[in-house]
Amino acid sequence: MSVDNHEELQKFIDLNEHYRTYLDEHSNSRPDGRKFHENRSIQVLEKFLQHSYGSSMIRFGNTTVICSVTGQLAKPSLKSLRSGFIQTVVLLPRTQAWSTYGRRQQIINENLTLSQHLLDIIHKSKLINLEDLCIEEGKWVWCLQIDFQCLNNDGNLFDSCLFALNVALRHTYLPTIKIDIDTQKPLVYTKELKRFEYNQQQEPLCCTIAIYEHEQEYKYLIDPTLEEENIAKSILHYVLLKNDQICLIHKTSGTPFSIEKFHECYSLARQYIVGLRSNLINELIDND
Amino acid sequence: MTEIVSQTNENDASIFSSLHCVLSPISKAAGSATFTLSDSICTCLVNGPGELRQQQDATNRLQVDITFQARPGSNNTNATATKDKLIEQWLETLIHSTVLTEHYPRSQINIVMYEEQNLSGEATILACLCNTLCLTMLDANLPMKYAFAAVPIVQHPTKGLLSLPNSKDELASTSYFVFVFEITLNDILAMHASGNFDMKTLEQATIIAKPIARQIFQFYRQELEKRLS
Repeated sequence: MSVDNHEELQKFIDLNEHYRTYLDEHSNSRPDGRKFHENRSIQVLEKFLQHSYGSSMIRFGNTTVICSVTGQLAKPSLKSLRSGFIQTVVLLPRTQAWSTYGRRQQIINENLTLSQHLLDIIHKSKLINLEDLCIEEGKWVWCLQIDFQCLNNDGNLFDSCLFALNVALRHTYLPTIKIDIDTQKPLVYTKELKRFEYNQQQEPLCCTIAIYEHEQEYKYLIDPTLEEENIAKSILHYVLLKNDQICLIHKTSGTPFSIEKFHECYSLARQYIVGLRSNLINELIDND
Repeated sequence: MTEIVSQTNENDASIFSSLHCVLSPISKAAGSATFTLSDSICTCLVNGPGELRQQQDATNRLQVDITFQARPGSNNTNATATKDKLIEQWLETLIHSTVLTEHYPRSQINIVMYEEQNLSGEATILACLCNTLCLTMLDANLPMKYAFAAVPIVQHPTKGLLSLPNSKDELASTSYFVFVFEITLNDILAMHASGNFDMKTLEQATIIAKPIARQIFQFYRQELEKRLS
């Protein structure tokens, strides 16, 4: 981390002060040059992991996330004989261990929180129907393991992970399973790959807004970087489905909000997500 | 342990019948409270402010260490350890914004929350936890900027928006909202909403929730007055 000029020194010592002085001088942009409502450039890479059933790598600016979908066969639980299992895990490999913010435990906690959010979204938006994971009722079901590896955390992990999930699921191919009638054991045909059927219509995408207080007014920073997430007073996540229905709103404490502000943030979120969706479609048209 | 189920009354002009609280049930802690909201019961205790352990960063504000454990063995199939972590992290931001943390540099408080009974899904227990937390901090005399209260609202497929639902309605509902209001301006301090809904429903839910929050604040006042008299 270079501390050559005055600006970087100030950033290193007191991030809050740096942001305050920057916003005093420039009224509508952030220190990294973006406007408040602008998102970072998105890069998408899919189908690049050899051993997973589906994979994708997403870069939102500097934040890099790899999503990998694998599956195992399991016996269904007695409570629901037709349901498969889904497990989402967000991992932070040691490439992130020595970043200057927070202790390792805090980072681990944030990732557990994110894993749970993603699982909730999958269930609540019915993105993946547990019945679709059934191979033979009462005997064999798929247990989908969805792993997210955050190679570089520069803020806004929630958006990138959800985007990566959407891209990965579009290209997930599961091998065909036939049950041998004599031995009742499953036969896995790894060469006959079938596209995974999921509820593609839903497409939940998230907009993360960091709320920063400047001169008694709230500034909404969309797609925050790591620094912006640290100085933000509170963070708001909006997860919208394709038909503009809201799937999840999660607001952390710190800034009292009236209902009008929620409406404001909703319109910002909708604009941002429309941009994300067109990005998703364009990338996949190019690569299909 | 026998389950304590609240009585349902159809014309709920006041919600005081579904609220019940015991302050300082745990005498050794700096502050503690047990709170009942419809069919959910939670206990919370606060220890501190005390000394900071060596390994943690010596920051210039209060360090908050919060632990939440759901009741093991309850038949809630959606409960996982990561869900507890989510609730812990959310409540931690609540504490950081409420307690005047700059007054206690290089100290920490330990908060332990237990869920004693949870017959319904997710909304009521989350709201119960927030309210228990607020009462505990009031009981421990921690300096706070404002008191806060959480209200659970669910969206039932046939009955519409219900506030402070009973277990049967909550388990049948499709979306839920938990709003945390603060006492000064009655604005929404924090929120967790999940399901499938639009902004109009959210607005209606807020309108239903605000008067209930005011009643919960009245309840806090009554309980604290009882204690100090």
